[in-house]
Amino acid sequence: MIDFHLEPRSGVAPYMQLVQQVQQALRLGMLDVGDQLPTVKQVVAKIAINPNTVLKAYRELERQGLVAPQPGRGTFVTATLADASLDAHAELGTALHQWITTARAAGLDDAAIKALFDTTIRKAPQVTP
Amino acid sequence: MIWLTWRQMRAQTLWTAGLVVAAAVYLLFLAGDIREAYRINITDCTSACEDAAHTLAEQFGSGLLLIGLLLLAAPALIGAFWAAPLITRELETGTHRLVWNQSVTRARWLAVKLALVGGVSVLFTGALSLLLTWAAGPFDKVVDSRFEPLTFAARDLAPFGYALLAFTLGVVIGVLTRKTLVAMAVTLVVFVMFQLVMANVLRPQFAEPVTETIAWDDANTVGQIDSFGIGPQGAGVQGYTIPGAWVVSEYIVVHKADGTDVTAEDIEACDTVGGTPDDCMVDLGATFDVTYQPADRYWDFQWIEFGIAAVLSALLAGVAFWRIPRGLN
Amino acid sequence: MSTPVLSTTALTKRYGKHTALAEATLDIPAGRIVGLVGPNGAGKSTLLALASGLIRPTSGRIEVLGRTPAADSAQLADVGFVAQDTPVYAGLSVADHLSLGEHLNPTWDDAFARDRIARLGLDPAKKAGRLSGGQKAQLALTIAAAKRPRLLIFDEPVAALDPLARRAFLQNLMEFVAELEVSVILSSHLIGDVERVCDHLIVLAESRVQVAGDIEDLLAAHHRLVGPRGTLDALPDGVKVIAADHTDRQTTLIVHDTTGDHLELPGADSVGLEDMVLTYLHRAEGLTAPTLQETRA
Repeated sequence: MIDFHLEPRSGVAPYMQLVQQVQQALRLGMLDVGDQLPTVKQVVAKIAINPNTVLKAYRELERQGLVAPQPGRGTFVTATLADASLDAHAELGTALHQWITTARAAGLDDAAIKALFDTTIRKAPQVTP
Repeated sequence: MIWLTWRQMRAQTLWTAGLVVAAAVYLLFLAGDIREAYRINITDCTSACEDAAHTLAEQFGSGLLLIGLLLLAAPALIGAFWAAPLITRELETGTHRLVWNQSVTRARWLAVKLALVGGVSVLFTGALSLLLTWAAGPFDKVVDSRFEPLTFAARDLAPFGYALLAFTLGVVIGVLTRKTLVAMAVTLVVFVMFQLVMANVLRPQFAEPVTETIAWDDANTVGQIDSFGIGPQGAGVQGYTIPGAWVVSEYIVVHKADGTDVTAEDIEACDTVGGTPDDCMVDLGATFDVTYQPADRYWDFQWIEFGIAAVLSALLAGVAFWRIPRGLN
Repeated sequence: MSTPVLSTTALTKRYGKHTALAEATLDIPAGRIVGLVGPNGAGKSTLLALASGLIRPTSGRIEVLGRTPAADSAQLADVGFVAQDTPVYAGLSVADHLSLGEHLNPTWDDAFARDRIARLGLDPAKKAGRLSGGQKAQLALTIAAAKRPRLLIFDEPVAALDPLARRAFLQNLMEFVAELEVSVILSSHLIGDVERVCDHLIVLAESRVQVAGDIEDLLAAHHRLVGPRGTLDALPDGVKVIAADHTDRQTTLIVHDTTGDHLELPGADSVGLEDMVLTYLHRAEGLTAPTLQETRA
C-alpha cells in the first residue's frame, strides 16, 4: 500500500501532492490495478492532514480515471500509468546519473543542481499528449 | 457536577470531618463530666450550695470559653481555607476553562459548588454548635449568662449564620480578588471585623433595651451587684448582672429617694451611723436605673443574628451569581 | 445551507482602554478546519474565548452553531474547547478526568474516551499534574472530543509542544475529524501546521481580521505581480494591493482579487500561504514586507 508524505514548503497544494504521489507510484509500477489506497482515516492519522484534502485528492484521482471508490470497502486503483515510458526509465536514469556526475564535477552542489533542474523544466515547453 | 465537587473537596472534607468527630467525641466526654459535676454540686447539694455552684462555674468556665472561641474561629477558617480558594484556585490554575466548557452551565456549576461545600461548612459548624450547646447545658443553666458575647456567638443558631456568612464571604472575596492567598487573608480580616462589629455595635441594637428602676432592697434579688463605690460620676454600682439578661448599663449612678445622687457625704454619714452599707442605702431610699435586654429576648436575638448573617450571605451569593456566569473579564 | 459554525458581526472586546478585538465580522461555514493565525497579542485567544463563551463581547454579535456561546448545557455540549496550555486538574488522575467528562456531559462517549486513552498509552491512575505537555494536550483533546461536539475549538494547542508531540497531537486531531465529522477552529502561529491541516483561514493582527476565507479560494485570489516600474499602477476594480515593493526599475505587488471572477492579471504569479499571511501581518503592523520577490522565474 502506498505511503503518503507531505512536503510543507514545496509550494504545491497538499491535495496535489497526494495526487502526484499516487501518479508517481502508478508510473513507477509501485501501485497496480486492484491495489487499495489507504482510507482517509489512515492517511490523516499518519500524516496529520485535513481529511478533506485526502478526499479531494481521491476525487481528483477518480476524475482522472485512475481510482474508483467501492462503497464500504475503500478506494481501489483502476488504471495504471506504467505505460511504455516505464521501459525508458532505466536508460533515462542512467543518463541523468551521468549528467549529475558532470554537474558535480563542474562544482555545483545539490541545491544548485535542483535549482537548475527546476528552472530548466519550467522553461521547457510541455507538449501535452 | 456533584461528583466533581465531591472529588475535588474529598480530601479536605474527610480531614475536616475527622476534626469535627474528634471535637464531638471530646464534647461528649465533657458533657458527661459537666453532668456528673452538676449532679454532685447542684442536684445533690445539701450545704453551701452557692459555693458549689461557683466551683462548677470555675471548673468548666475557661474550658468552655476556649471551645466557644474555637467555634467562633471555625467559620473564619472555613471561609479562608475552603471558600476563598473554592473558585479562585480554579481561576488561578486555569481549570475553570476546562470545567466551564463541559455541558454544565456556569450558574449550575456555581450553584452546586456553593450548595455542597457551603452546606457542609454550615453542617459541620452547626453540628458542633448544637453539641456544645447541649454539652454546656447544665453549666449555662448555673452561670445563666447566655448573652455573654463569647457565649452568645458560640451557641444555638448564631454559628450557623456565621458559617454561612464566612463561606459566602470567602467565595466572593476570592472571585473579586482572584488571588487565593490574598483572598484568604482578606476573608479572615473582614470576617473577624464583622464578628466584632456584630457583637459590639449591631447586637445591642437588635431591640430597644428595657430600663428599670430598682430599689436597693431588691438589688440583689433581681440581680447581683458586683461592686459599689464612689467614682468620678458619684456613687454608683458597677458590674450589675441580672440572671440570663444582658445588662447594657456599665456604671450606674445611685439616686436617693428625693431623686438626687447619692454623694460621698451620704456614704460617710452612713459609716458614722454604723450598720451595713446595705442597710444604710435602703434607709436612704436608694434606687438606680438599670438598662438591659431581658433574658426572654435570647431567642429573638439568636434569630436576628442568624437572619442578618443569612441575608448578607444571600446578597454575597447574589454577587457571585452575578459575577461568574457573565464571564470574567 | 447548514448553520455557520461561527458567525460574528462587528464583534468587539475591550479591556478598559485596550481593545483586544475590534469589529470582527466573520462567517465560517460548517465542516471546515479553520486556522486562526496572527502574532501574539493579535486577539486570537480573545476571539476563541468569546466563541467558547468564556468571556462576553463588549459590543457586536457572536453566534456559535447559531446560538449564543455557553447559552445553556445543550449549546455547551455542542462545542468542545481546549484552552491555551491545556488546563487539567493537577490533583486528579487521568481516570478522574474521564469520570469528570462522563458526569458533566450527557453526550459523553465513554468507550471512545477509554479507547483513546488506552491507545495513547496514558496510565489512567496517573495524576494529570505529572503528565508531560503532550500528554496533557492529548488528555484535553480526548475530553473535548469524547463529548461528541459539533465544533472543536483549540487555542494554540501545539504551541508548547515539542515537534514529536505536536505531530502526534495533530494526527490524533485529524483522526477525530475524519471519524466524528466535526468542525474545528484552531489558533496557531505555525503556518506550516495550518497549511497542513486547515482548509479555512482567518488572519488576525492588531486586533482586526485582516483576511478570512477558504484557503484554496484565498490562494487563487492572491497574486504576485512583478513588472517594470509604472506599469502596474492601474489595476482593475476590485483588485486590492496588499503590499507594494519598488526598486528603481521594478515594482512587485501582492494583490488580492476580491471580484471572485478570477481576473487574468498580467504577469501574475502565485503566492504561497506563508507569504500571503506574512504580507497581511506586515501590512497590519504598517511595515513593508521585506523581500517578497522570491523569484520564480
